[in-house]
Amino acid sequence: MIEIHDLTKNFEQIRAVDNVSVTIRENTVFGLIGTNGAGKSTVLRMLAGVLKADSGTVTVDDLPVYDNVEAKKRLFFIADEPYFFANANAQAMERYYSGVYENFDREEFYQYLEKFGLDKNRKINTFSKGMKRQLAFLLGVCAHTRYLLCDEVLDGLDPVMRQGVKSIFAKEMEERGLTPVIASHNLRELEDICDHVGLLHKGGVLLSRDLEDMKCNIQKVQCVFANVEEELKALGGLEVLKKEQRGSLRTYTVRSTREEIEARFATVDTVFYEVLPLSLEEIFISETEVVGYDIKKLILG
Amino acid sequence: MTSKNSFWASSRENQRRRVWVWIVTFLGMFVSVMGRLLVNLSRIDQWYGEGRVISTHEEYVDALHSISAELLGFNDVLALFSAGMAVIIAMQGFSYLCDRRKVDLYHSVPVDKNRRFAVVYVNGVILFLTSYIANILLGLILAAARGALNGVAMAEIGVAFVWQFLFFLTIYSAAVLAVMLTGNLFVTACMTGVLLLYEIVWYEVITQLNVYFLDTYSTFFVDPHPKVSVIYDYFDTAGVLMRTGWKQGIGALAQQVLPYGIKWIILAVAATALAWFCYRRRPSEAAGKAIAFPKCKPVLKVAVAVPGALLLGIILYDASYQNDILTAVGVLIGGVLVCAFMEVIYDFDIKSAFRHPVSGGVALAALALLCLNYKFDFFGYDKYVPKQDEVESVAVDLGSGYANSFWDEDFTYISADEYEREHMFLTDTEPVLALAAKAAETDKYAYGETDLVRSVYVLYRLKSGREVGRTFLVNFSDPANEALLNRIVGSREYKEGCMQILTDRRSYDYVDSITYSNGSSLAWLPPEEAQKLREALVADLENFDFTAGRSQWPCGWLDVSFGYQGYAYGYELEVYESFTNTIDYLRERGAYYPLQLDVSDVEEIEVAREYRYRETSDGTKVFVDDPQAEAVAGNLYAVDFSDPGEMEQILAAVYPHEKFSGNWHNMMYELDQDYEVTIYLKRGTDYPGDPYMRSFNYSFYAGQVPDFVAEATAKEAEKQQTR
Repeated sequence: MIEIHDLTKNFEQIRAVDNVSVTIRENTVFGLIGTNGAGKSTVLRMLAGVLKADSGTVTVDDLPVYDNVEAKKRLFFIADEPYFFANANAQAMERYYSGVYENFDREEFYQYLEKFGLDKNRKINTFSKGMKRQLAFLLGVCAHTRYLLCDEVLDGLDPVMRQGVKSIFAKEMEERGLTPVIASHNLRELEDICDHVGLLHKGGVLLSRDLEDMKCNIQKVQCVFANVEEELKALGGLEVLKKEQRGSLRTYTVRSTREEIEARFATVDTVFYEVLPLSLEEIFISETEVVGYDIKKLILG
Repeated sequence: MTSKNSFWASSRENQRRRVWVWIVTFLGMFVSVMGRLLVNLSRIDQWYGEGRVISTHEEYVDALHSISAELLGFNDVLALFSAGMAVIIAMQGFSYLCDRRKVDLYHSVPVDKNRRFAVVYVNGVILFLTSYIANILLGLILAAARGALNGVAMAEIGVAFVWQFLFFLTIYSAAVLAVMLTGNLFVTACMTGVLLLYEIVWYEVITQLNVYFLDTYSTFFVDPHPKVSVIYDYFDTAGVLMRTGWKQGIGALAQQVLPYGIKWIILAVAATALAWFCYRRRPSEAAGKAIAFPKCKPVLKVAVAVPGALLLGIILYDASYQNDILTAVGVLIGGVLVCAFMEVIYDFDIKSAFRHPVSGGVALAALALLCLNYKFDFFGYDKYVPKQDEVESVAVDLGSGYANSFWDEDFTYISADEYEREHMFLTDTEPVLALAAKAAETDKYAYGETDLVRSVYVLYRLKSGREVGRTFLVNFSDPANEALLNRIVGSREYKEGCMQILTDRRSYDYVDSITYSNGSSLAWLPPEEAQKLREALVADLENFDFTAGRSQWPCGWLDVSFGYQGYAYGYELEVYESFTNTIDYLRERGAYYPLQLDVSDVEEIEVAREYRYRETSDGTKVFVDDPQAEAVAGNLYAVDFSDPGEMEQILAAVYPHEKFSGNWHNMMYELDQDYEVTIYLKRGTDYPGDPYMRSFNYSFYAGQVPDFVAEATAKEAEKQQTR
C-alpha cells in the first residue's frame, strides 16, 4: 500500500503540492487526475522518490520512499517524457533495467516487444513518440515491481495500443497483483480502467474515492417540474453542484445516491424526471467548478 | 561471478555510456604524448644526422633521454589537455543532474545514491587513468626501442606520472563540485572557472590595488601568492621542475613535488567530500536551474561581484591615468553590472537583472568600503612601523650595486630577495626602524627634485613569528640619514646578507675566468688564483660602508665566471679606489688600468650634444645652452676632438656610466645628461680587451664639461640649424 500523508512541495515561491493525503491500495488501478498545474506529476515524482517532500510523508509498504533503495525496488516510474540513453536501442535499455531491477523479466520483455512490433535493435531516437511510450511502458511492466507509476502513459498511443496496454494491466494485476498508478488528463481512458481516483486541484486533493463510490454519490437529474414550489420541495436538503435550464427542462448535478434522489423526487409533482450516472469527466468538471475552476467563467468572465 | 547489482556491474554499465569520452581522452593524449614524441625524436635524429645543434653521440643520447623524460613526464601540453578533460569528464559524468528527464530515470531506480556517486566519480578517474597509462606505455615502448630511456628518465617519468595524475584529480574534483552546485552545463562551466580561478583573481586584484594605493606595500620579501589554487601551483612550479628536474636529481625533484602532491590530495579529498555532501543534499528539481542551492545565490553574487567590479576599477584606473573619482564610479557601476549579470544568469531572463536588491546592496556596500579604505587607509597600513621590542631581526635591501647575482649551493640562480631573506638577519634593528618611521612621517611629494630618493625593501621578522614585508622611501642624499645607513651597511650582518662573496668560498673553486675592466680596457686574470682575489676583496669589503659607496664611483669592474656541471654562472663585482688590497693584487698581475684613460691610447673623442631650443615670437626655434629648455629627441650634434690637450681635459671629466648601476648615486644629476661621449682607442695600443671593440661610451660628470666642448657643440648646433 502506498500512503501519502500531508504531502507538501514548494518550488521556490510556488506551492506545487499542498497537504495532499491519499491512500493507494494494492491491486487496484489508481487514477490521478487533476487540472493543469494541479501537481499530478509532482506527486508522482515524490511517489517515485525523485523529489523530496518539504513536509509530509510518502511510504510504500510502510517504507519511506525518498532515498530508500528497498522502497524503490517495489516501484517503477514512467515519466511523462521518458528518457532513453543516447543512441540506445531497446536491448540496451533492457540491459540497463535488468541490471537495476532484480526481477526484470527479459523473456517477457522481448515477447512483448515482438507483440508490440518494436524492433529491439532499432535506435530509440528513431522511434515515434507513441513507440517510445510503448517501450517505456513495457520496460516498466517487465521490471516486475509491485507498483507502476505512470505519468500520462496512455497519451500518444493509438486506440489499439491503448487497448493493449489496458490488457497488460489487467493481466499483470491478475497474475502478480500489480498496482498501477496513472496520472492523466484523459479521463475517458481512466474511467475504463481505474478502480480509485484522486482528484487534484491547485496542489490539493479535492477528493479521493473508489470510482464506483464516486459515481454512486453524484448524479445527474433531468426533470420538468409541475411548478416552482415542487422544484424547491424536491431539491430541499440536496447538495446541488450544478444547475442548467433549457426551457422547462432542468438538469441538476447533485451529490447524493440514486436511491435517495429517486425517493425524494417520487414525493414531488414532476412532469418528467430521470436520474443519470455521471461520467468521470463530468464528475471532474462538476467538482472543479465547485471550487471555482469553471472554464466558461475563465473565458467569458 | 559479479552480481548484476554490484559496484562493478554498475560501473561497467556506466562505462558503456562514456566510451566516447574515453576515445576523445585517448586521442588527445596520443597527440600530446606520442605525436610530440615522434616528431621530437625524428627532429633529434635530423639534427644529429646534419651535425647541427647536436654534434657528438653523447649529446645525441642525452637529447633522446631528455626529450622522452620531458614528453612522457612533465609534459606541459599533456597537463593542459588533462585539465580540460578533467572538466569535461566531470561534467559528462554527472551531467544527468542538469536534465529533468535523466534525473527522473536515475533517481527513481533502486540504486543507492552513494553508490551512484562513487561509480560515476571513480569511472571518471579510471577513464583518465587508462587513457593516460595506455599512452605512457606506448611512449615508453617507443622510447625504449629508440634507446631514449635510462634509469633517470624512467624515474622522472614515474614522479611526473603521479604529479600529472594528482593535477588531474584536483581539477576533476573541483569540476565535480561545480556540477553539484549548478543545474545547467553552461553555468557549471562558469562555476568550474570560478572555483579554479577565484583565488588567483582575488590575488591579482588585491595585489594590484595594494600596488596602486598603498605606498608601503611590497612583495619583495614576502610572496603573498595564492595558497590553494592548483592552477597557480602548476604554472608556478611546473616550469621550474621541468627546467631543473634533471639537474637536481630525482630525490630532490620528488621532494620538491611532494608538498604540492600532498596539498593537491588534501584539496581533491576536500572537494570530493564537499561534492558528495552536496550530491546528497541536492534537490532533484535543481535540474535545468542555474544554481542547485537557492540559498547560495546571494553569497555567490556578492562573491563574484566584488572582485569583478574591482577588476573593472583597476582597468579604469589605468585607462583614466589614475583618476580616483572615475575609478570609484567605475567600480560601483561595475558592481551593479556584475550583480545584474548574475541575476540574469540565475533566471536566464534579462528582466531579472535587478532582482534581489539586498544582495546587490551588500556587494556595493562592500565595494564602497574597500574603495574608501584604499583611498583613506583607515587601518594605517602605510604608517605601520613595528616597535623595536617586537622585532626579532630585519632584512633590508638598499639596492646595493655591489653584488648582483646570487645562487644556492646547487648553483641555481636565486633572486636577491630570496638570498637576502635567507641570509640577512640584522639584529641592530634601530636604524632600519628609524628610517621607516621617518618615511612614514614624510610626505612622499616633499622631497626635492635632486634628492636621491630610493625605495628600500624591508622584512620585519617579528618575535611573534609573523613576517611583514614593506617598502619605504629613503633619501640617500640627506646627511641626516648617513649615520643610520652606515650602521646598516657597515654591519657584518648586512654584508653577509647581501654580498655572497663574503661567505661563499666554495664557488671560487669553480671559477672559469676572471676579467677586470675600467670601462674600456679588459684584462684577464688567472682563474686558479680566484681564492686569492676573493680574499683581497673580502678584506676590502670589511671597511666598506654607505659613505664609501656613496662618496666614490667604481674605478673598475671584475667579471667572475663559474663553471659547474657544464653550466656557466657569473657576476660582476665593483672595485672602488678604496679597495687597496684588490687594486694591489691587480697591479701585481699587471691587470689594473686606471679609470682615466691615457690620452696617448686615444685616437679621437666624439662629443654629441642634444639640441635644446626656445621658440622666438615668430615661431622659429633658437638653440639655447640650457638644460631646462625643450629638447628634440634624438637630435644630436656631434663634434670630434683629436687634439691631445683637449682630449686630456675631456678624459679627466668623463665616466664609463654604462658599467655602473649607480643605485646610491643620482646619475641623472651627477652625470651630465646632455652630452654623449664616445672614445675611440687607437689600434695597436697596449690596451687589451675585445679586438673588435674600439669605441666606448662615457658621460661627463655634472658641471665638469670643458668650456671648449660646450662652445664647439653649441656652435655646431647653430650651424646645423641655420643651414
